[in-house]
Amino acid sequence: MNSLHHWLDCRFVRGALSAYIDGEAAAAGARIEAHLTGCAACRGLAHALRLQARAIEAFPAEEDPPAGFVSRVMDRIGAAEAETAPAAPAVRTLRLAPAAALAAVTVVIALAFWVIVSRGPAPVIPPIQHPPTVAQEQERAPKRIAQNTPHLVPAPAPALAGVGKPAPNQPVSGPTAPKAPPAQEYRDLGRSYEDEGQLDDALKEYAAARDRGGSELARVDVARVYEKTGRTADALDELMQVAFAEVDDQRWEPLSVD
Amino acid sequence: MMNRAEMDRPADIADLDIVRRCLAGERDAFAELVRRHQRAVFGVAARMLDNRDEAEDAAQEAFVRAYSALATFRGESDMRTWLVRITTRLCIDLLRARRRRPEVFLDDQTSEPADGGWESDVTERHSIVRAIAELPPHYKAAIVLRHLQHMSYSEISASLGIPLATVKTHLRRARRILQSRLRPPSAEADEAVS
Repeated sequence: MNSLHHWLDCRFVRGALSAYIDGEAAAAGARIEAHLTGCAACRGLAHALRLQARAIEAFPAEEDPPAGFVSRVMDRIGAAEAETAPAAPAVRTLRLAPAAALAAVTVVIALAFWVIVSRGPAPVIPPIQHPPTVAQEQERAPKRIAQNTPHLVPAPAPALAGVGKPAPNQPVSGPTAPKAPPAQEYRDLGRSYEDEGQLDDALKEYAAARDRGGSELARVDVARVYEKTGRTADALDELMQVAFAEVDDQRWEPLSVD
Repeated sequence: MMNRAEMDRPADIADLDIVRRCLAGERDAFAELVRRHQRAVFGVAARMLDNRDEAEDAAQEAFVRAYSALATFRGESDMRTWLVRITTRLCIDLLRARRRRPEVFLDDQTSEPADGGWESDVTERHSIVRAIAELPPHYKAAIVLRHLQHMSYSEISASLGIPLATVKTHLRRARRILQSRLRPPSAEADEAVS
């Protein structure tokens, strides 16, 4: 593992370590354990967090209140009941005087009428510029692979296979539209291109994964290809975005946060 | 100490019986509920507020609120969990309200843990108490619920009324703050690093 990958892995692990020691990071558990095996610094941090937990848990969870606590609570309940009779803990009911209820209903009706009138005619919705359909994406990827690396993939790319092809006039948005392939599939496709040295195509697929809400790893993929193609500044830009996203999440926040 | 399995179980039959009696108008039955859970409620308030007088006041208020809301207790969760939830939220409100006031720490009043080990180090205990006391209210609540009430992340999420991801973030940041304020872990951590 090179130093960049190690650095990124450290950042990931340190972000997840707190949940990991609580047994609440099952999905990332294997990755974290693998990293801890080879990273003394992160292993030390994990150990320190466990010590911290042990120190806190040494304090008693339960504690005897001062003598007479129960009677003071009951006195307080009695006083509260006296103030707000009839007694709690009755089921809460809405009791309005008839005149108040009538006034409330009138206000609600008036508000509803005002909202309806003030809306005016329905707005005209401009046509939406749809992104490429899944079918277009599906056709595009294998074609490019076939063109660029005909010895590799004569059939549709496995990562995109199985996604239903919509009818020609089928809408691509709305609740019935087929789902776009998950970002991971674009990453897999990009990896295939990258392994074959088709860096431009790999970059397109990784960028598609990134733009479709893929994890930070998709951005790292993009950065790696930039690095390979000599676009160091672009690579750094991508990595800075990863780094700042993480820093923003973990920055020191003093007492102003709650 | 209550484990998670106990927390996940539905309300104790005795607790449900007390609730039924209270709702039927038998107010004194509530005293039994207070007796059963006073240590847990006061313990949470004491950890959250770091002041015994304020903790007692908060614990009393928590029981008063619980009594008023008893009709909403559906028995799907443990009574103790429900009371701890009320207490924690109340303490968060109190901590926010007194944020600008000087703190009075409880460290000299807490019961001592068992002898032996580095936990008995007075300086260390003082540091931990002070570091926890200075955490922002929600962070402190997450730490108390996690480490002293042994709640899962989803239980903390429900108790504090915040998303699960926020629980993770609160705990991570709280631990980061604690780590930076406590003295560096000594020999044991060094051994792990080396």
